[in-house]
Amino acid sequence: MSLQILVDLGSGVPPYEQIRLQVGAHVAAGRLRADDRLPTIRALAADLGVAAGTVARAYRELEANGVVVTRRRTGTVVAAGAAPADDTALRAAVTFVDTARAAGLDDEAALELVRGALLRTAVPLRE
Amino acid sequence: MSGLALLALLGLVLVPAAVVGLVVLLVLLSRATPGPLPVTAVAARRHAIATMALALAVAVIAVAVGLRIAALTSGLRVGLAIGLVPALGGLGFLAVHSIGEATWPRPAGELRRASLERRTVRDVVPPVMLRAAAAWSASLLVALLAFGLAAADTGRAVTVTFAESSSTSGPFPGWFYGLPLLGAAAVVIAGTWGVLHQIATRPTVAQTAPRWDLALRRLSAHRVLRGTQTVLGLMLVGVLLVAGSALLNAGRGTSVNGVTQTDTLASTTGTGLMVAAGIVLLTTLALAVVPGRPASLDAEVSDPGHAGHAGSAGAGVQGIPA
Repeated sequence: MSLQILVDLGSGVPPYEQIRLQVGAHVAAGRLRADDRLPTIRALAADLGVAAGTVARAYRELEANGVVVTRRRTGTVVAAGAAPADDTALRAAVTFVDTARAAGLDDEAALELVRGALLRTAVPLRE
Repeated sequence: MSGLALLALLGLVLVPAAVVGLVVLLVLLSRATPGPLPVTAVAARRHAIATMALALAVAVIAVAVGLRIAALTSGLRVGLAIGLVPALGGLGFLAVHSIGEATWPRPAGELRRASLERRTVRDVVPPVMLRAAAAWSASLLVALLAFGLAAADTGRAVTVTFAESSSTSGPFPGWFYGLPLLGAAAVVIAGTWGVLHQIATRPTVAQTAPRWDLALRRLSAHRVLRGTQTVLGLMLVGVLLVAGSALLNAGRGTSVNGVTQTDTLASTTGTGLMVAAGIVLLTTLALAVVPGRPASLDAEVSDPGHAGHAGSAGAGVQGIPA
């Protein structure tokens, strides 16, 4: 599998946030595993045609969230323990996406369903 | 071997190589592409072909200028100037490729795609051309080191000693010629590595599948390494020819009291070097006309990641089979 990210410059979501979300999603889905190397800031910025600072900010925020770590020799890699150990929810998400696709829903419609389902159950506040 | 003879030899090699290169270029330009190509893919291919054509033209011009400079040079530097001509052509070739990669079309449009996998030079280099370039480099290094050690003190000739006399013949690629040639080869190799790095890290061609983009990178790397192996191969051929010729001449020896003295080892080595030069020349020229694999035949062109994901920033995540 070749992992891809898509950045929509016309979206209201800033490009750095789109990059952060998608890298985080790949890690959460287990497609990026611990110690997997991410492209260099310069290479990813060149591929996306965005400023290097945009990618740098995304990487910085991912690092602050514990998703990636930056090492001197290997560059930016996925942090150990970044992906959830329990994959029950992941499997349920994959099943849901397959179902949504079969029903002809686009991404936004599928996300609406998820958001609606999330609203049914309030996330317990952390003490 | 005299300077004029070497000039004629280089002309005999380079002119056919230039003609064959132009024919290959025309074939590439006229080759039909199966299926419709996205505008970005057409632009990228056009940029790559234009870069290659310009690089070939600059290489031929650089060689012609180098030969002219060599013809105007006098004294001991003639042989050195001729020996550096292939490297001069190679550096012109690499300079154009470097500019072509630096000016590679930037991503355009609102929707941008990128792979999260790291691309390295290893991912884009074609193994056959890499092996050829490595083989010529290693052989050139070994040959120049051996000839440097075997040469006479001047570093420009070789001396064969007989029972009652000795025979010296030159030019011979000792340190006088060898060190500048090694330096030139090192610059060509470093330049090649730099351009290959540019190819590996250049922007992705928008609206194309990752496999197509990678195939185009491999095609570019093939073209660069094809030029480099040609340059290094021709340098090696020149060194082997000059060394072989000098050893053959020295091995024949001189006539003492009506008896011509010969050195079998020197003569045999000289003949072997000449034969090796011929084999290297034929292999180099054969590889110089091997076309790269067209990107359109190597992978799907259209980008599946562009369907149904526009505008969905958070969900625009795609895993595409490679």
